[in-house]
Amino acid sequence: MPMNAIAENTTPKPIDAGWAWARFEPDGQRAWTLRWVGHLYRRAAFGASWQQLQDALKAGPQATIDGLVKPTAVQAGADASSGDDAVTRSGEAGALAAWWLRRMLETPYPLREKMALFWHGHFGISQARVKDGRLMANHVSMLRKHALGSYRELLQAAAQDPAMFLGLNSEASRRAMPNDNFARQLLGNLTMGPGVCDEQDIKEAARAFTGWFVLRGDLRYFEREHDTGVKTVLAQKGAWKPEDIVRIVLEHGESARSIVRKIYRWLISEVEEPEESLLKPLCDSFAQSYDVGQLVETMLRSNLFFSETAYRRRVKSPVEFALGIAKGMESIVPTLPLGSALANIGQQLGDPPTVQGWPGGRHWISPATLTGRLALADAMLSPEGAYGGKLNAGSIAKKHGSAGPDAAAGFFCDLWLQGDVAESIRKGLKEAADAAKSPAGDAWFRDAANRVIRIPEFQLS
Amino acid sequence: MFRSFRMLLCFALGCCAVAGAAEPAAPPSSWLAADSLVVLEITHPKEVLARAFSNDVVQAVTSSPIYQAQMANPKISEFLNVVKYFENHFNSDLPTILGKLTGGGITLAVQPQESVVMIVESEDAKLLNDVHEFLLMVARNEAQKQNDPDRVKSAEYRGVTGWRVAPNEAHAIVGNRLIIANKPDELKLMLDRQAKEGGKTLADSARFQEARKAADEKSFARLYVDLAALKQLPQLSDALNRYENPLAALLFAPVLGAMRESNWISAGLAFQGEGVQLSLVTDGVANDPKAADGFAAFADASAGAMPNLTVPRQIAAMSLFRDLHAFYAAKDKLFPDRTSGLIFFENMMGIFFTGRDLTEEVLAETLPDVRVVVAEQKYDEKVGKPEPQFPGFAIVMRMRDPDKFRPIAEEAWQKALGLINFTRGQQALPGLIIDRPTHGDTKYSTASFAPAKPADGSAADVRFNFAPALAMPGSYLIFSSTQELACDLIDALKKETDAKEKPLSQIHSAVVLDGSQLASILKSNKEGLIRQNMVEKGNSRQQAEGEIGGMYMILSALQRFEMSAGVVDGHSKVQLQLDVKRPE
Repeated sequence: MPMNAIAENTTPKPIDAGWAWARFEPDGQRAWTLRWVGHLYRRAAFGASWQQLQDALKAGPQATIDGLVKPTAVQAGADASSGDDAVTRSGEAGALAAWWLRRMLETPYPLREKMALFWHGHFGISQARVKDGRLMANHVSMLRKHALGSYRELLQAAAQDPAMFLGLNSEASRRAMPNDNFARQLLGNLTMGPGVCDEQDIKEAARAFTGWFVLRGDLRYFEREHDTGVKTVLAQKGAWKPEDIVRIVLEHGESARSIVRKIYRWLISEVEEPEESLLKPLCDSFAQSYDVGQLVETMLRSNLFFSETAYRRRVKSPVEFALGIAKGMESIVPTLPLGSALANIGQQLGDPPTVQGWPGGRHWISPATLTGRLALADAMLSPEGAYGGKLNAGSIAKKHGSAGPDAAAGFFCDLWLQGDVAESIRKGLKEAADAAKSPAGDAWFRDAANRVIRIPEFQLS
Repeated sequence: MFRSFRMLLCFALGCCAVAGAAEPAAPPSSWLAADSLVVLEITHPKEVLARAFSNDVVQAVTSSPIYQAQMANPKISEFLNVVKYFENHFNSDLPTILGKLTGGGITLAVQPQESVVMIVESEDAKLLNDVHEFLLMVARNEAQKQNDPDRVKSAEYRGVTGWRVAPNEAHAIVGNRLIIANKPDELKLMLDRQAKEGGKTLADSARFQEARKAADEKSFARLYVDLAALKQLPQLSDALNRYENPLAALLFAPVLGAMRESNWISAGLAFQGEGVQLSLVTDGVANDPKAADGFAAFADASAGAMPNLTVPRQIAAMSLFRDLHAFYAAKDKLFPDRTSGLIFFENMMGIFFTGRDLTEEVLAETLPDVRVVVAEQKYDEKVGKPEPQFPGFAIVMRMRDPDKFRPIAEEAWQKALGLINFTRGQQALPGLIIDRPTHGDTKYSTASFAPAKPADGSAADVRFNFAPALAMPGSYLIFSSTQELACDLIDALKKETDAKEKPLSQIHSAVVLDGSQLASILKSNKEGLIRQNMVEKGNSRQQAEGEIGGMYMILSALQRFEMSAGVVDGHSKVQLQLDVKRPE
């Protein structure tokens, strides 16, 4: 029986929340196979090397997830010392993206970077609006620091982050003329989502942010400009200050629901809207603690994560697409040109298009961006050009015992897609491999890798 | 690896096909086609080998980070093992073997129809024979391994055995000379020329003989380029007749103009002390002040660029004999595609120069003496060192009527500072504070940022690389990016005036560069360059450190580079002198 059918049969419809969020334990019906290992590394990291896939296969799901969500102190220390601050703070064009991409590739803690990337889209702050490399670097550091911590603390930190105010065109808010951009974003996109609070709530909340100015890169408070009067926000009355607004808005049940939904789209599926009942246990728990790490861990360990409801139900973002190739090739690529190339296919790190972040999903793919993705993959695997032959398909295939055309095609299919493609595609790969007539040189290894990347399933996470 | 080995084999075999009967020595040019396009002659290869394989150089290369990094590459160590085997087989070291094989000279020529030929004259016919036999054996074994046993072929022509070991290679030995061509037919033509049946040879070319006479006699290597023939190529002709970039035109127009008027280029490379000197001579001279690009033409024999200025911590200096008024007045002829951009530039300049005409009322006030100086900076301790650290740079010009032009320049400069401050103010960035200090007898204007050390102990902001200054000592006008460099230039100009320095007769461009100072600024920016290398090339930190370390080593070894270009004895001449420092 095909693997898809087994998993499909094991996903109850409608999905029972108790089953969905229970820990996934492999059994005779749902074995721990390369398919699920690849799925886990695509969602919780940026892909994996062949060795990582094999190690995870041996270790089992829960031990592998332990390594992803709770890296050892040594690993965490190694990550903290990557030392990219000086460059990102210089504010040079492309430096932030280049160093972040490099960190994503090198870090032993990829889940943190994956969630920092999620928050980057969530907050939607763009260097083009902040216009200060140092502040933007600090903003991303803040996202990284709280990526798997408390969302409450993250929001409080954001309310003290100059880049947030600049990025939302809210660098000055006076008592006589409150700037409501920050409050609008806080009560909308950052917490409850659109349409929950009314315009009056936003205007009242904006009064709490009066007195805050960004001057020469510092966030400063002027008492005389602060509106000390009573404000009514979401039916709560008081002489509120920014931290009170954060508290009040997080106390609203819709905030937890909105964030859980967003993370569900990020980690589980962006195809179907989940039922309220399915998310309820997670929302209830998240509303108590706002512990992102716990929420993420619950999702990653769940039956639902390792089911057809989640499998290949996201389109890879350009960052995931490119880094997935590089991770499989076990090498660092030049990330300065990569950052520019990713911008050309729709994802400029450090510059989300709007404060809503990147729309994602099917918006990632258009005829132009798809062509761009394939051209980028070809360039990354090329021995010449901007990527200077850093990714060597031939040496990776040979290293893992696949020296011939047929074996190499199979290897790349297993490495990136875990062999989970239709029989006709497998046959096509084999025929193309058989037709590789020139054994001299490594060009056909590259062709084999490119053929796998061109398979539609490669675009899915 | 196999491909590089095969190339080595081809060259080595090229260096040794079996000698036939002894022939009277004819000059290599008599083997070459009269219409050869480019000819490189290394007349003293042993001298080159002795320098290249001297203990100092070998030690410096083998201890360099680049070499160390390359040693980790298995292909390189495999190659070195082949070399070692070769040395053991011939019971001698590589430099000695190469010296004997090539000691009579090497000539390489590019001829029409994409043909490339090489002639190598050996000092030891027996060694040549032995090495050739050895390498033929290796080539046959390789061919056997590749299931291509017929790859190594031989044939007779005019009593000489010709060999082929690769598709684009044919060689033969005549006397103690090896001749190699990239096409078998070309090899035959060379043998025909030797038999006096191949038509005229390069030795018969008056152009070649004239160029050769112009080359430095002390040269160990000479290059001849048939420019008249190459100018038939549309790309070259276009490049010599069109200017795309105004700055490039200002710098290179006199050289390009000379090439446009020339039929040949002759270059000679000679050792000078620890360094090398390259002299490039052409038969054409461009000195027509009426031509659009005649803004470097000399009015009389004594005219020329002033000697370069010297300041402390100097990295580079350039002195140009250029009439800026004539240059800008010819802009519509020189850069017709850039008219709209230049009009915008002129309008901008009109703001600074209070509506004066840039050509007739500003540039016409300058003399054809333009000098540029670049020097490493010292930083104020109150500020700390910025990251990255930029060198200071300045331009020095001379005014026709200092009393008239001084207030005009001062007003323009202060307006520019005002604009900078206003723009920075709009972005909430700190502005420049203007001051009017005195250095020696010269009162000058400067502007600097108020000191502000970063609270977090990180490097100072990049703005602290700049403290622009305008100084006008005597008839000179100095625009400098730093106050310190402006003061150093005031001193240097006083010294020049006191010494009554004269222009360098008929020299239109002179450049000097100090390698160790350049290495010093690279060292100051090392960390930033390493990081840039990592993201630009995808290198690990260790690899990036190796590359930047290698660059530092090369610059440290480059003690001084000097270039001068002008007219000597009716020929255009460019002379480059490179002094290297023995590694410490």
